[in-house]
Formats: sequence, structure tokens, C-alpha cells
Amino acid sequence: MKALSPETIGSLKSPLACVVEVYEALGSTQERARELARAGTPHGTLVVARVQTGGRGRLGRPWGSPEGGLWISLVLRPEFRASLASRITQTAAVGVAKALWEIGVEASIKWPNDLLVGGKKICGILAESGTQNIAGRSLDYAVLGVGMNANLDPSDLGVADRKVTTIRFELGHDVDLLELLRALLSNLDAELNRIEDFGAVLEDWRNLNCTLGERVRVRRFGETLEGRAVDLTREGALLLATHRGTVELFEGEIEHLRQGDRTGDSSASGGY
Amino acid sequence: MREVEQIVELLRESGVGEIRVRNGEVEISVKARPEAPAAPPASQAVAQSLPEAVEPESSPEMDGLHAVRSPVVGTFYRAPAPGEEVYVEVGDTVSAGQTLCIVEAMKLMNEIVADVSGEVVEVLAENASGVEYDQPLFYLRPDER
Repeated sequence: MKALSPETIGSLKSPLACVVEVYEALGSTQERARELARAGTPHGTLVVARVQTGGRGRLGRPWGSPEGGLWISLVLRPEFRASLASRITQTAAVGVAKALWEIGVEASIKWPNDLLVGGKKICGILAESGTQNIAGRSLDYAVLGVGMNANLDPSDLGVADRKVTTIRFELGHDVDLLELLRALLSNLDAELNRIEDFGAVLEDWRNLNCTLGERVRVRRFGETLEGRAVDLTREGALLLATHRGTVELFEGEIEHLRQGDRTGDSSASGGY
Repeated sequence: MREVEQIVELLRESGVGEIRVRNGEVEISVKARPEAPAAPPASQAVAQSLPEAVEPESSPEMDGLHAVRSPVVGTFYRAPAPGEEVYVEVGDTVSAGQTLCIVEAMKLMNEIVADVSGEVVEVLAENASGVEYDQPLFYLRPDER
């Protein structure tokens, strides 16, 4: 197995790894990438840490990130309107899911962008963006963080209260992190390049998802809603059928009420 | 919706540029289109018939205030994480490029920055509440140049 270094990563020749920083240990790849983004680093800047000492998820939640995982953040400078930025997380989820399938892990997507195997989280995605609040509202940058539980045991993650799994646990062996990174970058690049054709991205999302058709509970704006996830809107919002009628969700923490995950349709079982 | 119709009617009759009605957390703002034909001047009778909650006023933008608007539909957060300090308070002086808030859409945390330097005059959305595309989030009073 090749170690992750600026040289080995550079040899992948990915457009998402034009500038590469690799750290033995770093507080948070996301924070470092955000610093670089604000300082004007180009599209395709990649920050990798073998260990994150202060890994953070959404809303600052701690995310265990010991050695053996793939902890990365990418700086993107997409050339589309800021109003399309909310497509990034689902688009990234499709790319990450395809990369996992490529290495033999049959992951599915929980709306909007969590990657699960057997109902347990294997990978988290965190996206942040900065907008220039000017006429036209272009997106200045997006920072995409991907935390992949790779060559680890689930107990290494130190999040006993959450349902987590790892690539090692699912495959029964470790994977080459450079090969995993290659699959990840090439699938992310392909998906992000067709973000304007969001219908096609969402079609793949549907084939990979485990949320549609499920009963879910969601907390948002201080209330709890329960219902059945029936469909997506054209922009990827989740339509939830509840006793009060159909509710459109743009955000919120969803919880599947029935255990287990499945891919969206039977044709997905042979690939995506 | 009947109330909105009534406000639109009032706007038409009164000739003011904008009417905003706030009732608890709900705020309805109705603006006249600039290209609309000039409405007759407000008569005393119309002004007196306004319900108490309706206060016709000039647009804050016309008072020299600058609105920072949401570029997306999402959830408005005033702090980077629950329990942490808010990015800005009313009365703070901010510089262009400084982060004012986050609007989360589809788990994309969108940092909204001040596009002018100045003073934060008003925070227009509640923390952790839903905001619409183009909704004003803050009023800033730009620095004198």
C-alpha cells in the first residue's frame, strides 16, 4: 500500500487535487481548508490528515477521526449561482456512494447525504460555502469535507452512542487509502461536473437511497414531524406525507423509524 | 390570505412604497412596483382607517440602510454551533467580508458575509428558523465614505 503524501496524491492527476496538503495530525481538515479558501487557494485544493484531533461534523459535533480513516476536505470554486449551492451535498453523496461501490462496499444514501451500510454510518459529508453577497450572488467557494471510516474497527471511532461501521468491518480487510482516495476524487469530480443537470444526479441518488418509502422522524424549528418519505422535489427537498398533509423538507435531522437500509430499487443491487 | 389582500389594497390606495405588518413571528411585507402607475396621495380618511398593527413606513433601504439577504432557502443560524457566541449583535461594527450568520440548506452550511462595512442595525430573522430566498436577514448602516 502506498502512503498518502503530496507526491502519491499528485500522481493521481485529479483536477480536485491540484494543491495538496497532507498532515500527520491536524485539528480539523475543514478548518484548514476554509482558511485556505478565504486566502484565495484555487479550485481543487485538497487537505488530508492522517489523524484529526478536533474533527467536527454538522453544527460543530465532534467526529472521531483516528489513524486508519480517510479524513479530507476539498476547496471547490464552482462556477454556478449561489442558489444552486444546496445541490452540492446530495451531488457529493452520489459521488461518495459510487466510490464506495467501486471498492466493493454497497453503501446507500440517507437523505440528504449520509452514507450508510446496514443502517450504520460509514461516511459523513460536511459542506460549507462562502457567498459573495453581490449582484448575481455567485458562490465564492465551497469546502467539502469527507470523513470515511476506512481501516478501522467501529469501536476505534469512540462514538459508542451512534450506529457506525467501517470499510474494514464490511469487507473483512483493509483497503489501500490511495486507491480509495482516487475512487473518491474521480467520482466526486464526475458528479460535481454535472451539477447543472441535477435531474440526472437525483436519478442516481434515488437508485442509491434508503430513505424514500421509509417512515421517518424529523426535528426542525423546535418541532418533531413524523411521516413517510414519499419523494424528492426537483431540487432534492424531501417530501414527507404526514397527517397534516405533505411537508417539504429542506433541512432537518431525519431518523429512520424502521431499521435496515435498502437501495432505492432492485436494479441497484448489481451496481448503481 | 385575506389580510394580504387588504394590505395590497391599502398599499394601492395610500400610495406609500411599502407596508410591513408584523404579528408575532409572522411578518408580511408588501412593496409597490416602481413601474406601477402613481397612486393617488394618501387621504386622511385612509390613514385613519388603518388598523393599529399596520404602520405604513418608508423602506429601510430608503433610510440609507443596507439589507443583507439570504441567497438560498434554508435555516438561519446566528452562531457557528449551538452554545457558541453569535457572530454579530445589534450595534456591532462589522467590516466587509466578515461573517454575519449561516444559512443551512440541504446540510450545506452557507456562510453569509457582510458586503459593506458598517453597523448592524437590526437582525431580521430568528435563530434556527426557516428563511426564504432573498429574505432580508440583517440591516446594516454602511460607514460614511
